[in-house]
Amino acid sequence: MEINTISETKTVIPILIEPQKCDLCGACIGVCPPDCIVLTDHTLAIIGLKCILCRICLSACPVGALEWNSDNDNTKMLKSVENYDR
Amino acid sequence: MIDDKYDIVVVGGGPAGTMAGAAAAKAGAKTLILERDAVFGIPVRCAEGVAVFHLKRFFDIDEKYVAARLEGAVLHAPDGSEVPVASEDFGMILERTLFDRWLAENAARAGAALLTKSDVDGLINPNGRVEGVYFTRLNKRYKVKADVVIAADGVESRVARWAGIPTHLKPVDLESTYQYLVVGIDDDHNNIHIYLGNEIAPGGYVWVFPKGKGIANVGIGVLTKYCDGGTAFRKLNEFIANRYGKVSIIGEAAGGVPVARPLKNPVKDGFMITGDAARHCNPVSGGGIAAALIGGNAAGEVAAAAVAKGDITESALKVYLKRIDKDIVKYHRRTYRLKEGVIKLTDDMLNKTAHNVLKLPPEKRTIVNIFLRGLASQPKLAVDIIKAFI
Repeated sequence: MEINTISETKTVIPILIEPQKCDLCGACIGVCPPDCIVLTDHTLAIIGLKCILCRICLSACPVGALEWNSDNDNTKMLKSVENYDR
Repeated sequence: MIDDKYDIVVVGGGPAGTMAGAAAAKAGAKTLILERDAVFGIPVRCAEGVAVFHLKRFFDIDEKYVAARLEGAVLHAPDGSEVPVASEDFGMILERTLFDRWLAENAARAGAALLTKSDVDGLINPNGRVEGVYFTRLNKRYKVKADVVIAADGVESRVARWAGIPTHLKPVDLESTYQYLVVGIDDDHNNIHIYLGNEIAPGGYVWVFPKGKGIANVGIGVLTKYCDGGTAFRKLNEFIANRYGKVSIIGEAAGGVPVARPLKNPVKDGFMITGDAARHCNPVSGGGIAAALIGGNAAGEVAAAAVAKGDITESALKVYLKRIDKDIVKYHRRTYRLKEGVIKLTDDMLNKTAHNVLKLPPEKRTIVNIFLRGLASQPKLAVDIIKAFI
């Protein structure tokens, strides 16, 4: 199973998908407000440019396959979404 | 093998999709069902419980897809109190791999065309009007036109979003779930068991659905609102370690279960949504098979009738909403209010409720029905009724 993050947008986001944990169940996609998670047959990917860093997908993941990577944390962007309706 | 144009294209080969496809084909529409995976029914992301009467509405039950028949259910309060409840809302545990395959066979026999390994990755929608789908099968991309596209693509429901209908769930409306198929438990296997409690499963519950003696689906649903990543997996492991100790696990699956109100408007010109994609899941139980059968069947019939009449506008397709009004729209809206109350219950309140319900004679212990009757006669917030109950 190949799971990767689309890099075409060159936007680095602080969310990592752990391929070994991901079950391709689609729970994260169900809650993603900007619809930036893509699931095809064997691939889950996040379109970085559309991501608003709301972290709802992290909570929704039953297995914790989505992880916050603090190395890429961008607190400025986070502030703009902290009032997001959740 | 694959034509350029169909009357109806159904995206997704779960129960909603295959029911819709079968109903449409039976009504004479040229129908294609597209399934992303290689086999209908695999993988299973389901606890597999369904009430017998829901199936009987549509067909005679074939024992080959029945894993176990049940007598009832036992609710377990956080303090360990056990409340046996009447069985009308429960009935049997399916073998979904076989059930879904049977539904696919049923659609094929009705005359629908079916394709596996067909990943729908776009809609033909010039000017916002849905006119067909794009899909990839074995690295080849296909463009197929359709008078009506029926989205039955499950909880992630991307097709609906491509059509411009927002289906995003709030964290309070998605259960994050994990389930094991467990061998070697010596629980009572004639009843389903539901374990409630904010420590056990915040905003949800743990289920033990027996599939025979010593084998059961043991799963958990936790409300995304109360989760951080991996909560479902962690809490389920805790439950199994505490209750059973060492067991053998022969299968596992993660999933998302919508516990939302049904979509207000699941149709537009040439487009319909059904099943989990339309949020047709019982907001308290998370059960979605019955609603998928009812909604899928209605969507297929309405779409076929609209195509036959040559009117596939939104207003013509809205007959679908009337068809599912009682069984899904009104019922799930009522149940949603109940959910809003239930997820706020503290462990103490859950215990008290259990103790009070235990005072009732067994035949009146249909908790859901008692709550619902209260809601129907007094349209206040469910939490008030539950408080009144305590």
